Amino acid sequence: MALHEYKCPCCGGAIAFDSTLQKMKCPYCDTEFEMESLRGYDADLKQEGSDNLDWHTDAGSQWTEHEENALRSYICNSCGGEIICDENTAATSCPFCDNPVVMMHQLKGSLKPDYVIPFKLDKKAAVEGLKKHLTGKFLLPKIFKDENHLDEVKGVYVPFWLFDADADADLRYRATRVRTWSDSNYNYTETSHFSIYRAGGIAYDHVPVDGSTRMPDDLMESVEPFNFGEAVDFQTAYLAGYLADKYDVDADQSVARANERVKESTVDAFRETIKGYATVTPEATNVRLHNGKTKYALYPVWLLNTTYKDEKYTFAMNGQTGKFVGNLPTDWGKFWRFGALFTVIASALIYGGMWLWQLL
Amino acid sequence: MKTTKRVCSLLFVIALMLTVVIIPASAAPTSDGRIIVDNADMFTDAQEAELESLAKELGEKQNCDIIVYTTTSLDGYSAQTYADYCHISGYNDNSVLLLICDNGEPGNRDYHISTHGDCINKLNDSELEDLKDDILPYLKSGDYYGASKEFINKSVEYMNPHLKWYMLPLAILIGFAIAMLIMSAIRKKLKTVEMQHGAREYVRAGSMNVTAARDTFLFTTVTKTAKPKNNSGSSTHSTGGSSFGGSGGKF
Repeated sequence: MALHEYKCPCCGGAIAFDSTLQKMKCPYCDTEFEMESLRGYDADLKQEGSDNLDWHTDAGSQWTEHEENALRSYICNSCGGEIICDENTAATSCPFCDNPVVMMHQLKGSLKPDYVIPFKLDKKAAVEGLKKHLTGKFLLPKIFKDENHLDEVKGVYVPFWLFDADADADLRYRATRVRTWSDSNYNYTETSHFSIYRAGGIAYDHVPVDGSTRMPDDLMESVEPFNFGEAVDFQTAYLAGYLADKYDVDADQSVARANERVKESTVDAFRETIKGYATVTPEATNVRLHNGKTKYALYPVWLLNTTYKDEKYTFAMNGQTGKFVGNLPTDWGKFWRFGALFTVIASALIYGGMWLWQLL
Repeated sequence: MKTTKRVCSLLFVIALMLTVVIIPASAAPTSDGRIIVDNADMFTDAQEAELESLAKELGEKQNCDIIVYTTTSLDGYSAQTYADYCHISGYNDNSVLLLICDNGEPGNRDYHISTHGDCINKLNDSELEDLKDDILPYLKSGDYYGASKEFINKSVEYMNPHLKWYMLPLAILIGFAIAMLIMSAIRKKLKTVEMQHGAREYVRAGSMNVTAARDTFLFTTVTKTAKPKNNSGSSTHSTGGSSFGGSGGKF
């Protein structure tokens, strides 16, 4: 199988995409290359890549059929070491010589993404992001910062399906208006009920849905939004130096989640056009989508894994905007201590207020 | 931890000071009339003396007379009228009176609490009800001395600003609820991973258009609730030209 490594035309070293320069840069001789100029170079290399590397991944017979199907093995062009990875890995680095490699085979044919948003933030920014994420969290155990150790930091191009759609909506809401008055003996509350009808259209661009089962859906939705304005046409060269997955959930399966989000937003958007009522609840919501278009894109995400008290914590940072997310453990001792303190303060204030009310 | 304890104890001291400060100190002379009138001979002489000194001491602090009047017959009057007449003659203008009438028919015996002057305002209807609840068990068991002593003590307690016993646990409960709300709000900062709601960021700018909008009125419902009654003072009535408050019943 074909394995791709970008060789520096100057010195022959393996080159990678530099997120700060937004260019390819050779770590050995510091030569920089424009992405455009690599397009041609890329094409040449592809032709060269059709070498007859005919070798067998199933030489050992002890693999089960499932494992055999899921594993891929490659020979590193630089050192000759064997790289084993799973079927969805599209870019990684060689475990022996650490050179960035791209599995050309995985990206061929229908798998080729339409767009890629290149990494703008580097590994240092991701580690810095974690540090910032851990500050200002009152209930985070103090020793978490000292005792958790960073197991792994990796930049991953995550496959996303992007959905464009025009939505037509027919929506019915039930609303109420409340009026109160009183005479000498009674307080009156008058509730008027209304049926509200709204119809119209609204359009959505590039609603992303995570196309990889290896990435938790909630984690990927939490690092949103990505700015699609900075997306560029896909080139494999962008992948050099990062990990990349290809999708394993296809567009048809992903569209359900996009529909759900589009519908929620449509109902909300029309809800905001209803003004002057005390309560508004959706009763019947009919949202039809048309002109649906699907795009396949790779979005940059930094993933950080840490361990604390034998439990794994996963954090993610948007490789474009720097938005950092990840759930953290709670210091329950501190929670109850301060809970008790606030209980005493609030109770004393309330009891004092009761006395004051009694005295006045 | 240390600072937490210190703050806790400070708060308790503040709460204690609040309760101490509210007892007003005022002393004024009362009239010379007998304030324990035991026509039905319910008390021993010693009990009578004890009740009298207690009523006198507490009554001076409140600038009012606290009177206990016992009888065996209402002479055809209602308990309310009889009680009101009892403390017209020769007492301080501000007075509260307990009438106990033991006619020897359990279940048909009368008692009545009557207030006059400032005491009408100092004991409101709900406080009178509480006072009745306090003394009724003594009356039912025939312990008239106990009932009178309870009446003297509790009427003074209710005339001072006071809170019902359940107000403290209630305050703590509400305080706990507020504290938990604050703590969960702080804890929420630790959770940053969740599925997103909607796709608001991806709406094409200016693409929304409303083609139809109808607001149709359906119907109206009206509910009415009784206004809460005024809390200051008790309801009054007039006996013999002057105004009285109070409440009573049978035992």
